[in-house]
Amino acid sequence: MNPLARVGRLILAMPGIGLLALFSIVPLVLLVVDAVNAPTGLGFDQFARVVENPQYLERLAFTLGMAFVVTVVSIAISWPVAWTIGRHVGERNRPVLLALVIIPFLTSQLLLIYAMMVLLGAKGPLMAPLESLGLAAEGASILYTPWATLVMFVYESISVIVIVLYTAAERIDPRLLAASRTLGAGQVRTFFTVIVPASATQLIAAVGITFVATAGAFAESAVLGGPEGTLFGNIIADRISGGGDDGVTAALAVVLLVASLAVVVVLALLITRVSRPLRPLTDLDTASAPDSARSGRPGRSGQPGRSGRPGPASVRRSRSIPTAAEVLT
Amino acid sequence: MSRLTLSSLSKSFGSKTVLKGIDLEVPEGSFCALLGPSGSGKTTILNIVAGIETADTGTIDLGGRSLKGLPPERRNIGVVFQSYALFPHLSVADNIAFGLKSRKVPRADQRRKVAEVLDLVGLGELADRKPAQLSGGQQQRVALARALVIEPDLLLLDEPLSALDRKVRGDMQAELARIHREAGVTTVMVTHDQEEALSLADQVVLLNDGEIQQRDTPERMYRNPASPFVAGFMGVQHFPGVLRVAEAAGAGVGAGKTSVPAASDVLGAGDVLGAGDALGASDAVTSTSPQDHVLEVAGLALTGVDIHVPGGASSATIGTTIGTAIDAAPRTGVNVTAAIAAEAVSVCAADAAPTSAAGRATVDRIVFLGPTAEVIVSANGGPEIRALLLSRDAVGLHEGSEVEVSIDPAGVRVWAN
Amino acid sequence: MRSRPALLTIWTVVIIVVLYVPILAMMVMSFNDSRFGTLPFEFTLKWYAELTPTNPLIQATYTSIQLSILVAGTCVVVGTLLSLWLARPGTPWLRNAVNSSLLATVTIPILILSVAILGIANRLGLGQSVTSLWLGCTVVSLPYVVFVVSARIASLDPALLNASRSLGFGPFQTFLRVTLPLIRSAVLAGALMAFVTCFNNFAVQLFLAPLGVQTLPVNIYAQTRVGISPDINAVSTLTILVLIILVVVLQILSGNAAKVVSGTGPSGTGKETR
Repeated sequence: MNPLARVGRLILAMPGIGLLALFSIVPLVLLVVDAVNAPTGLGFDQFARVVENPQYLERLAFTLGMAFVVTVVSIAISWPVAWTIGRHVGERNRPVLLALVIIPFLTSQLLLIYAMMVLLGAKGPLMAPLESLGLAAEGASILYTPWATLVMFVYESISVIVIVLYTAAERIDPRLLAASRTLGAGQVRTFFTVIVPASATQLIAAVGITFVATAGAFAESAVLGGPEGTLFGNIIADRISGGGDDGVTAALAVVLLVASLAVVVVLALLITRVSRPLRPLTDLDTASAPDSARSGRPGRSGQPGRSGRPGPASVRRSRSIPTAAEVLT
Repeated sequence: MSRLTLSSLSKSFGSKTVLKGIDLEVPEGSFCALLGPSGSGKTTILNIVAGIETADTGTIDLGGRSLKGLPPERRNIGVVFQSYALFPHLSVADNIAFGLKSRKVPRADQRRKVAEVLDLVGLGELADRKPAQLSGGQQQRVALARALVIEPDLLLLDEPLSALDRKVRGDMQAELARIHREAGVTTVMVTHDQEEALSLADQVVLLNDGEIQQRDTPERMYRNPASPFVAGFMGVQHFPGVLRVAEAAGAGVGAGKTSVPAASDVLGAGDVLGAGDALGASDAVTSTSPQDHVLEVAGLALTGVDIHVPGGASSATIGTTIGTAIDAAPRTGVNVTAAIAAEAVSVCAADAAPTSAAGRATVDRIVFLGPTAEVIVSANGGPEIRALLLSRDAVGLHEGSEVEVSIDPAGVRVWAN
Repeated sequence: MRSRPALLTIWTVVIIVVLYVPILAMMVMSFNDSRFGTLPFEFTLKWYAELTPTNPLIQATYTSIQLSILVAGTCVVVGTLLSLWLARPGTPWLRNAVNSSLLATVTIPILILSVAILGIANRLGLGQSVTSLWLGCTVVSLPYVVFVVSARIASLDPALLNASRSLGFGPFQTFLRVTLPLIRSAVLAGALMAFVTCFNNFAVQLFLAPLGVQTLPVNIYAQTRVGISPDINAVSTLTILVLIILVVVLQILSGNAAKVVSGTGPSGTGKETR
């Protein structure tokens, strides 16, 4: 088109581009800069202070462990729901069910945390009936323990995971399932040889979204988790609230980000590996989707000409993370 | 309504040159079809004329005014897009009135003109529908009405019939011809379908690789393709062949070949020259004395064949091109490409062979098309030749039949390689 | 064979019900007399009666609404202009950079992004201020508007714009008469998305709001740490009801809110014209 019109359009887009640059990209870059730029000079001093602090390390491990458990439990709970909505619900009811699933997700996160606090409170709407049935001790509650945080995380994750995995369930070619069954594969085998490989992209996305969001959370544990349930995010948030916007805080944030991305990359590789056997079939099926799992599988007959598989970690990371984001948004 | 003149139009996208100096004249009120395979640059020409893209060099003149640098909204050109591009949020009437609004036509006139043009395209009762409620053919008519109502100086049609199914396409083709006749607007159509181009246009421009291959009336383009490419695009089969000096009339040419009758028996020379006369000067056909030469093609031997020389050599200079080549090697001859119109080929059972037969062949397949039938034969292990016969002439032929093939030299064109 | 869908159906229904249990529990408790959120249930409206204009919760709600409207308005204008630019080819590296920034903004944990934004606000001398709050919330909500609007723009036939131009309207009139009507519902959906995400955006507000400016989530967060008052139940009940209505409207506007959220974008242009 007319170059003048193109420039005009770019000028009109400048506020958006500027805002993104100045309040998203530049700050993230500066965060890394701050992390390596200690008062004592450039270097990894501040990281050392994070890594050498056993309390920080212990909380980091606890946080990543929590995120892992939440991811696994949430996916286990959500997948059957996604599958049912994607494959056993009629065209007419599907949007209604999806709306019902998504509404809590779009409702204020803090209001939901608060609602969970009300629900779980001692002698509250959940515990009082349990007590009167003799199923819980007098005045008992999981509120103000890490278990409450865990329940909250799972509760929050279900909506998004259902939405993400539902798109995978909907896309699986029913002929693949029928073929698997006629070939004598049991339900478990069908799950691992057909359903998991065909859903690999969305599964990686779901894992990425849930894990990263959980690892970076702090409000849930601050409200529900009690002193035992402090997460790495709380350490950062408390430093900020205490006016500690300094290099160590930046280093803490960078450590959290890198650690959670690293775990996601490992999980993504694992899923890719598990879902390898049936790739040739599913390739055809999902050829249109930008499938992260499609890369670098050496040919069956091991064609020598194919320039080997791409360097695993770097390539996978750059693929799996944007994929996760794409599906989230 | 105006004459459209393009001169030395060229355009590249990055390193890819899509137009290489296009010169084209579309007379006032005529219907010109830009025909070509995809990637030939035909759509680019249309977009440049419409102002959607800009040419790198060259000029566009419409009715005496230069379009250079004019944005699309100031060109007064009606465009029917391939997707029709009807505004989905507007009713049929509002879609049509869109261009009138931009011209600040008073409301009452708008209504009258919309009604008129809806009548022209035969959609009077659908004025209040939304485009999504119309069939493909109806959408096409609305798009046409919307482009015509602004009384454009030029109407551009981008693959107007490609989105329609076969049956509707036939009706729409007739409809388009009628509307063009009634509106009388200078029209340029882009298409990759030669049938569409041949049936609608006064002038067909065949493009390939950003260059004009031939510009002619539909009939002449079919009868006298300027090159093997044009022949191929027009659906005329072509083969490599050898042209050499005939030995004494009635003598065999080459071992194992059937005898070649004297050319004078096959056709009057006037037939060939008649075709040549009809051609535009730039596409001159020259005929050397046909009876002197024999064309060996696809296992057959023909005499009395015309020779096309790209660039338009006269019959005098033929001596210096193919002629001299043949003279230099009367026995081995020169390699040529020969196009043979399927309807110029006739076959009949071997025992009923007429004197004009070019050779003997075997029937490979018969494709029954209704009133006509396509008989595919091959001779002496050569490539398959299609013969288009009236169905009744194909009665009695079947796969494996031995047949005599005769070819009307008027339907044969030869180019030096 | 038949039993499996039945089991799956039961599971699905149970999970969907469970998703609403905390919300419903809180709503019920907003009518309960107990100050400490304990049973037995005794009906009262006194917590709703406490929601006078001087109640800090109500003031915080006003603040949240004002902020969300400001941010949604900014996001719609800035995001639509950005989407229009993204929809056209040209300057590939810049387009890729913008797309990656949008993805990074929604992928990076909000806590880390907030810390980073606070860092730049301090450097720019804005500190914790209304301006930082406004820009920070805008940048976090912007991607949703861009995703929704540019998905719609991408689904538009570019020939529509060329048709309008060839019929005599210049670029600006074409935008008003063709592009805008066709993307209007997506822009509205984007505005609602921005409003909702901003209203809910707790972390950014916590770190960027200046002293004395408290949004609803920040106020509730502060209260949960020092002990709660039951009028939060009442405010939360009303707020969640309004949010649910907004989401239902969003659902109707976009054809499928779930698809908006999951990135498949609102349904195409064709259905838009009913």
